[in-house]
This record gives sequence, structure tokens and C-alpha cells, in this order.
Amino acid sequence: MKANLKNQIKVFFGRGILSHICFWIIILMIVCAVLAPLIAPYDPNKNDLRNITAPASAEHWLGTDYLGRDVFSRIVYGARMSLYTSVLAGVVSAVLGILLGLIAGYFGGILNQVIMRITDALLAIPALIFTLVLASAIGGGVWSIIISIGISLTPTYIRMVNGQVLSLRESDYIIAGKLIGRKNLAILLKHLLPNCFPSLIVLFTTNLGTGIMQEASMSFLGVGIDPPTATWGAMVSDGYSYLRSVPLLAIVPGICIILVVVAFNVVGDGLRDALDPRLRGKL
Amino acid sequence: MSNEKAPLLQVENLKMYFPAQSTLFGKPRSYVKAVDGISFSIDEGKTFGLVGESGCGKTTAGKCILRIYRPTEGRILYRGTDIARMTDRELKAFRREIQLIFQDPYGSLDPRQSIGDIVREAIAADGKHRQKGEMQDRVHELLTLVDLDPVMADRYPHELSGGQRQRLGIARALACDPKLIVCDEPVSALDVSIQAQIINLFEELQEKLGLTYLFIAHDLAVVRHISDVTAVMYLGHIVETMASGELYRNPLHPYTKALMSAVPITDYDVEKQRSRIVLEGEVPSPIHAPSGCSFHPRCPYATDICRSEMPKLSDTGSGHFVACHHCGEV
Amino acid sequence: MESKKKLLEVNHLRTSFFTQAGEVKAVNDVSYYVNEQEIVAVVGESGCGKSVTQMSCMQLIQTPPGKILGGEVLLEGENLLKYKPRSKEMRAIRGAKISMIFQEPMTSLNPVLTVGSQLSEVIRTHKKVSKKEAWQLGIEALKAVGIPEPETRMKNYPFEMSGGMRQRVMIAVAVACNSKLIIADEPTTALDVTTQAQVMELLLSIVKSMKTSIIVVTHNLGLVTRYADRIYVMYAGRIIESGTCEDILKNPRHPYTIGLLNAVPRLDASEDEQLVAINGAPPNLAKLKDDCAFAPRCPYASELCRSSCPTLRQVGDREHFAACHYEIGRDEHE
Repeated sequence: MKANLKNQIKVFFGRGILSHICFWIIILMIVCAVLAPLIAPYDPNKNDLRNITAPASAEHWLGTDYLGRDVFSRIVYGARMSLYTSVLAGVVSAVLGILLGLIAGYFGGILNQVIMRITDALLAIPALIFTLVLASAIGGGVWSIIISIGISLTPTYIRMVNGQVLSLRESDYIIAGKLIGRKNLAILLKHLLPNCFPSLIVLFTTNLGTGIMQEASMSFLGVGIDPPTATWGAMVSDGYSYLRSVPLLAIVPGICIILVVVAFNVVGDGLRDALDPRLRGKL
Repeated sequence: MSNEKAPLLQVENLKMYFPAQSTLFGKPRSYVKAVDGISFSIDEGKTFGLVGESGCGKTTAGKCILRIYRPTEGRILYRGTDIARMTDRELKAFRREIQLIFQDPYGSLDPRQSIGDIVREAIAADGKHRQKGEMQDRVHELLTLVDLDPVMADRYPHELSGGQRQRLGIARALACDPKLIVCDEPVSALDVSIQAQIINLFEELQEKLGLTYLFIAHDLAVVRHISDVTAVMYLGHIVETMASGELYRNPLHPYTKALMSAVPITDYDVEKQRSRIVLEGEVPSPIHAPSGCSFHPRCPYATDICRSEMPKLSDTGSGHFVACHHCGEV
Repeated sequence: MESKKKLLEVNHLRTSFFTQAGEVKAVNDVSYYVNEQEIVAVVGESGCGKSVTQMSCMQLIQTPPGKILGGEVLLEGENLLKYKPRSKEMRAIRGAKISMIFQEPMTSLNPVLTVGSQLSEVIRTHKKVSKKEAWQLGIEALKAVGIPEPETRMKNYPFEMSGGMRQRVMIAVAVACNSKLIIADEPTTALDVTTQAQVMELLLSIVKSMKTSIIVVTHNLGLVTRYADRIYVMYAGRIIESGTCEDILKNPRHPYTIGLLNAVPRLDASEDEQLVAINGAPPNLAKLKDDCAFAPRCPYASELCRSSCPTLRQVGDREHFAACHYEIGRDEHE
């Protein structure tokens, strides 16, 4: 198993320089998020009206915004907020999606039809619009964002788990499990779910990118997390008005969003390769 | 149970139809008659061989007996009880007594479970409470029984060779204390030198544990070697049933003869003297099964009656049954 | 009788694959030959190098990780290894002079093109004929391999045909190109028993009518018994016994060959006959040492076997060779 892990790491990083860069971008983001109070030189919400829209300097590495807040500190805290919402939204969607997907695949029949058709319907609605409507229906606050993003991502998990269950259900070792007298539910949890894990991890990773994107979009549109909390989307939105005079205000958080979303997608792809069971046997 | 002589398994007029094309509203328009009325019985402690080419329905028959499929028609009497139409709940009492050995040993093993886990799971699935030491002893015992080193319990299926994987599959089946084991092409995926090891293991286990086998395979020589009674299937029907010794000495059905002749014997002199019957054409699709005797389009002896009427299995003496209109003349 | 001409002669061929686990010596100093109008069988279990040997002759080894390290492959005296794998000369030899038939014919036929267009395309790459003539030659080739209604069959797609039919199409390609040598790699393993017999009888008739030679690569000893003139037995990348079909089956001299023959159930055996299994499993080709690769499974193995690798030596009056340190016959093997 250790050789297995080593092999997977080898496959992951063997995909080229991009995998390396993206891996470290994500590590950097996680470090920023976790250690934000230690890294950020200033309180991200502390106004300094004597020193607004200051250019980059030794004191303010990325300058200050229109309220004199330190942009670098806000970026660091923004990373924390983005990761926080997207990870929680990811967990919400994964739990909901896996549960519904398993139920649909396991019970089959009409229940399967109902769940899958609703899933199809949800997938047909543009995710952002769906999230916006849901968020405004639930009301404000961080949790409303998390839940609405979570729900909008759920169909992807349902689809995947359901597909996996349907194909694995016919496999020989599931039949073997039935023949030794195990209950269906036990087979589902013991054999089906663990064999879905590689695909789930991949989906979770790419969905983190999508979650960050959605959170940023919502904040940009003003229905996101309430100000003055620092989020990248809100920073782009705020900086947008100063695009001509102080372009850095909008560009820096924008670049952060792009980098992180791309990084999550590349890492997701890498995990897909690394966890591919066809490569597992090869040592 | 009252009668000691009653066979362990008795299959009567078993039919398994799968819907093929369907109409706009999902009603099946035609059926694939995978198994079309077969009957046989297996005595306790004996081996019954089911042989035939791909698509003849032998695997489907096995899956019906395991109740992976619910048969369309017919009775499956296991120790006198009909299990053909039982619900999953009623079946529970019999589930563990009938086990399956798969063709592809790797596909039947969960790649994420260690060898020990696989066997432990099978032991524990009966729901009885066991002490840890008791469980450990049983795993040890089962692995030893199939000639696997118990030290390997911590390894994973992909670290095993093909033969070892099949041994593990057998150990898992044995963990349920089965009476009847359905072996579906258990050696055809293995290397020649390994096949004999597994065949010998089957025979050894039968002697030790008094197992009953339903041995399904396409390899005539293997089936003949291991079975007491052999049945030849063609397009969902049994065309000939006989004591395995008779198979080589006295095959009666033209299909059996052709099948026999297609299998070379690895003896130079014997082989040079054998006559070869090469059949024309190929096995028809079971959706459009021929009328009358399903073998008639390929049969060199076919006459009008073969085209119109299906022959019944009839006794030619000493338990040798054949379904052919011309078996006396051919 | 003995004036038969050698069509193919392979001398000291060595092919290795360089993997993470080390050098895998898949073909380890293999020499054999094929006479004109002869059926030669190469027998061995999966992973013994029998297929890689044939792929090396055709220079169809994927490089990397594979590499032909040495030896020569003489087709009518011309060394094929002097050509680059992708050269014009090599491509002309594949197909025109040597045809290959694989286990799963579905993968060697393009699923989106009709059988006819593929067949006539092959004919046109090797013969200077018009499209129409090529199509006509294709029909004749299909007729020659016993496919009914060849005109309509030409317009079929591969998936519309059964496995046996597809295998016939592959043979038809060889027939249409007048190949001198057909290499059949497990040609009947994926087929049903009765279809196997049909395909093998067809190959046999082609040897007679088209004056070709055939190399049958297989693990099935029965197939060999019935159809082969001479046999090469391979184990762990080496040829360990070779000779005429009669010699090898009646008087096998290598413990592995003897073991194989005893391990296969026979249709005509008595009912209480026991199979004598070969213990253990085939070795890992990446971990071969300079000993006899069969020693760990051999009932006769001694210190000598574990320390030095035996070479092929003559054991019979005809061309019967075995690579064993000892004089062992089938009778002693109980």
C-alpha cells in the first residue's frame, strides 16, 4: 500500500510543471487561510481614511483600498473566507449528493427516476442563477451562501454516485457479497462507497474551484457575504469602481480567483490520473 | 430430509427468458430464451458438469440456481424446497449454502479489501457472534484449506497470482459452509499449468468436505475429468446427459459428437487416428431460435421431423439421456 | 524430403522491456526456423514471451519500453532487423510477405469501415491494382476462406459479423496478399470450440492450397497436437524444448513439457485418472537469474539447476532439442 501511494504521487507530479505549480498554489492558499492572523500585517477591516488608495509600498505591499484598508491583509483573509465557504459548501453538497445518489442507485425503480429527473432539471438551470435565487430566498449570512452553493453543486455528486452504483452493482464482487449473505445496505456501504472514493475526491477538488468561483460571483453581485468581511469577490466588486485610477484593487483579487480556480481544476485532473485504478496494479 | 436418497438439487423445467426488443410502451416484443426448459438433478457429494459453447445458457442456468436471477418458469428444489420463486427474505436460510466460484477471480474480489478482510467478511456475514481468536483461527483454517499461506492475510488481491486469487475465491465460498458450489468456468482464465492445481483442489475439497458441485465450463475435457455426470447444452436446451465416462466412449447426439471431435487429444497416435467432424455455420442467436430441434440447421442428419418437432430427452438405458429424433440410427 | 527450404530463420533474438521494476527479458536468446509449407507451433503460458518473439520479428515492439537487443530475423535469407521499424521496406514485408492474425479480430479491424473497404485497401497497398480490381480480389479472398455470400459480406461492418467470421476475414487478408508466412497469435482462443475447429481446418487448407507457412502461437497443447508439424516450447523467455510434433508429444524430454502434458485433462483418459499439477507459478521475468528458470517448480531440480542455466542440446536422433541438465523422460515422471 505504501508503494501504491508512492506510485500515485509519482503519477501526480509526473504530469509536468503545471501540476507542481498548482499544487503549491493550493498549499499556499491553505497556509494563508489557516494562519491568516499571523501572516496578515494589518487588521483587514481597519479603516485608515488618511491613507486611502495608497500605492504599493514597503508598509502596504499591495497598497490600500478606498477606505485605507491593507489590500494584502484583505487578500490573505479573503483566502480564508473563500476556502471556508467553498469547503463547507463542498461538504454540504457531497453529503447530500452521496446520500441521494446511493438511495437512487440502491432502491432503483421509481425513486431512482424521481431523484434523477430532479437532478437533470437542476443541472439544466445555470448554477449561478440558481444559487442567487436560493441565497436570496434563504436570507443573508455566510451560511445561506454555503447552503445555496452546496445545493447547487449537489446534482454533480448525485449523478456520479448513481452512475457508479449502477455499474458496480453488476460487478462480480457485489454478487459475491450477496451470495455470502450480506445485507444490501452493508454491501453498499462496505463495497460500493469505498470504490466510489477516488472519483469523489476528484469531484470534490474540482468543485472547490467552482465553489470559490460562485462565492466570488455572488459577492461581486452584492448578494454574498455581508461587508466589511473580506472576500475576493467583494474586493473585485469594490475595486471595480476604481479600475481606471487604482487598477490593482480589482486586478489582484481577480488574479487570485483565477489562479486558485485553475489550480483546483488542474489538481483535480492530476488526482484523477493518480487514483486511476488501471494504474494501481502497475508498480 | 426424510428420504436419504433424494438429490440435493433438483431442477425441473427451468426457463429463463430475457426481454429483448420492446415496443414503444416498454412491453417486450420478443424474448431471448437463454434457458428453455431444462431439468436435471445432482446427488449430494457428486459433481454435475454443464458443458456448451458461449450463449448456450449454461451460465444463466447457474445464476438461476444461485438465485441471482429469478427464473421465468420452473422449479429449483434444493433439499426438497422450491427456491425458484422465493423472495430475498425467504431465501436467507439457503443463501449461504449455495456458493459461486467465478470465472474471473480478480473481478470477484473487492480490490480495496485485504485477503484476511475478504475471508473475515464472508465468515462474519452469518451474523453469529465470535470471539476474536475464534475468527482468527477460522481464517487461518480456511486459507490453509485452499493452500494459501495464512501469512498472506495482510496482502491485497492485486499482489496475488491468478491461481492464488482463485484459491482465495474458493476460501471465501467455503467460509459460508456451503453444501452446493456452482463453479462457473473456474479455470478457463488460468494458465494451463495452474488449471490442474485448481482442479485437483476442487477434488480434494469435495473429498474432505463432502461438497456437491455444479461445474459449468466450455472445456469438454475439464468437465469430463471432474464431473460424475455431464450434460451438454445447446441453445438453452440440454441435448444429452450421461455418466461422464460415456461421453468419450459413446456420445449419441450429433452435436455432442461434433463437440468431442473438435477437442483434440494430446496424444500423438490417438489424435492422428481420430475422425474429425467439422460443423457448418455457427450457433444461431437465441432470439431467433430455429424451429423444431434447435440443432437442425447445422446437423448433417437433419430430416423433416427435426425441422418441425422438438425432440424430447429420452432414456437410452443406464441413465444416458439424449434429445434426438434419430439417435438410434446415427 | 530433407531438401525443404527454410522460409524464416530467427537466430539469437533478444528483446527486453525496460520498466521501473528493471529489465524484463521477454525474449532471451531465441532461435527457431520455419520451413516452407510448414505449420510450426510456439507453445507457452501467458507471459512466457511467445507473442513478444513474434512481434519482434515483425518489429512491432513498442519502443520504449521495449527494445530488440540483438539477433537476426532472416526471411528468405534477408535480415529484417536491418530495416527500421517504420521504413518502407518493413511495411512492405508486413502484410505482403508476412500476415498476422490476432486473438481478438475485432481490435485488428477498424469498426467504422466496411470489411470490403479495409480488405481492398490492404490489397491496394501491396498490389498495383485499381479500386475495382481490389474489390474483386477481396470478394475472391472471402470466397477462399469460406465466407458465404462474399459480395454482400464485403459491405458489412466488423460488428455485424461473428467472432469466427471476423477471424476468417483476417485470414482473407493474408490470402489476398499471397503472404508467404502467416503468424497466428492465439487465433482461436476467443472462439467457441466448434468455431475453433472451423478456423484451424481453414488455416490447414490454406497451407496446402496457397503454399504458405504458419506459425501458431498458443497455450493450447491440443491445438498443437492436431495441427502442428514442429513445436517450440517456451518458458520464461527461452525455448526450452523443440522438435517434431511426434517427438515432443510421445517423448517429451524437458520436465516442463512433461508437466504440461500431464497437467491437461484428456478426453480419452480413464475415469479415475489424476491430474499431475505443476507446482508454483511462472517466474517474474524481471527477476530472472542465471539459473534454470523452471528449477523452482521442477521435481528434479538440483544444485546444478539452481546455479547454471542449461542450453539446448540434442536429445533425439531427429531434430529434437531440450534445455535440461538431466536425461529425463516421461516414463520416469510419475
